[in-house]
Amino acid sequence: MSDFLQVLGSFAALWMALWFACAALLALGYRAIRAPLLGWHPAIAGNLLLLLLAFPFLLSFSTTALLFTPAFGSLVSVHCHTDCAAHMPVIATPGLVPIGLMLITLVCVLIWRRLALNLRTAKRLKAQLQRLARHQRDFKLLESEQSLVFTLGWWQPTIYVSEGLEQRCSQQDMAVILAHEHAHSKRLDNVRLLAASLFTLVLPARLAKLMKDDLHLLVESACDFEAAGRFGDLDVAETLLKVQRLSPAQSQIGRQAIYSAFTGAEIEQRVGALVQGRQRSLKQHAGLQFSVLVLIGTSLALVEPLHHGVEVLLGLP
Amino acid sequence: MVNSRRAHNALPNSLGELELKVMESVWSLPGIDARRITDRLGADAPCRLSTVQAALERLVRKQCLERRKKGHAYQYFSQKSRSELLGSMLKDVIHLLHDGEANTILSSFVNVAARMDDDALDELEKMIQRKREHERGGRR
Repeated sequence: MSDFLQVLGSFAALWMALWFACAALLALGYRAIRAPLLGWHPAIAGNLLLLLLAFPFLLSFSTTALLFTPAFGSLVSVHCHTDCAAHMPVIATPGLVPIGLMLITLVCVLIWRRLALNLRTAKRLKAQLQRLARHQRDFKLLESEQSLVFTLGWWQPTIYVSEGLEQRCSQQDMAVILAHEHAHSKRLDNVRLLAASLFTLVLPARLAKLMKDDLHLLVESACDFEAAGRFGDLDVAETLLKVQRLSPAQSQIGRQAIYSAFTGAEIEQRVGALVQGRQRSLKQHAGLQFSVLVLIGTSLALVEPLHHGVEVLLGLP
Repeated sequence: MVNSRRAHNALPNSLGELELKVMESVWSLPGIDARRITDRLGADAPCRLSTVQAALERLVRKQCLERRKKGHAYQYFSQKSRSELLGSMLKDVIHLLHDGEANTILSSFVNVAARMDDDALDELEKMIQRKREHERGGRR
């Protein structure tokens, strides 16, 4: 095997091992921190949760990159094997390098598949809705009796409102709805949710779903709070209930069920957060900056023990 | 290829760009034939008659159009109005939201997959009213 492949395989094996180890730690610890996290201001809690989801990926990648970058040799104390030159912890154990290469290929393929599927569906949907919708000042109007409103797209999201919803809502309701949807556009929430779906690829399916659902709730709640800043908590809560009553799934109750899931908890939590006037201070912002510092510090601190740990495992003299 | 099939299955009622352009021609001129559609579309970008005929064939198969023979040519009439077509597409969107597959593509104001009985919604409404009255009382 060439030196380059040997280094690449070692890098991949270490990165994957670290990624899975960090993901396992997250899986063990998330339920313990979940309740306090969900009690924070949703905008801050959402950012923290996304950072937490990215944590296994970012920490494992940055630490492995530091391990394999000679420029950061000063992070590892000087020591000698056959000679005393700066060196990378290249794996010589037969079989580990190919496993590392296979694992990294598999992860890349999974990420690419999920991205490509999302991209194709979004592109197709957007192309069709753009052609069929009528342009209004703040949104695109869909000539349909269904009651629907959504924001579609990642970097330049578009708000779509159905005629059915517009006709059944007052001007005040529409203003609340549009303030909420504009908040999604401004915060690039669909990009956050897409990133979360990629970061959770290596997590156990049930935990991944729980974390993605929590992030979704926080993202929606953060936009409710933005709208509430202009229209008041109770007005936003009332509009939420009104639109929920009009939503297509709601209208199916008592008829042939086409939806099997009963996930009404989200609307209860969002209305509850608005009505109870949850602590809305943004002081927890310090928590986010602290987490970034912890990530960088942990990454730097792990380089030395990992370097020696790998060498011990490899039985280097 | 797998992705393409899955993306297509995720939006079974969707139409391609050319198919939508053809539908627009038929909506604006009911009874139009393939050659006139080709001429209309050619004003934007060159388009071959055979390509338009293939799109018309697909739209007839999808029951979006019906055709009647007049002389040597077929005349096309829409079987689905613009809002009916949109309605079918929005059903796809709702199904995607329900499966959780659309959460990374679009954000909906309320969770359309959520189903709460009227009693639960009434209870939430009462909670809002109580809070409103409490706030009014506090101001007095």
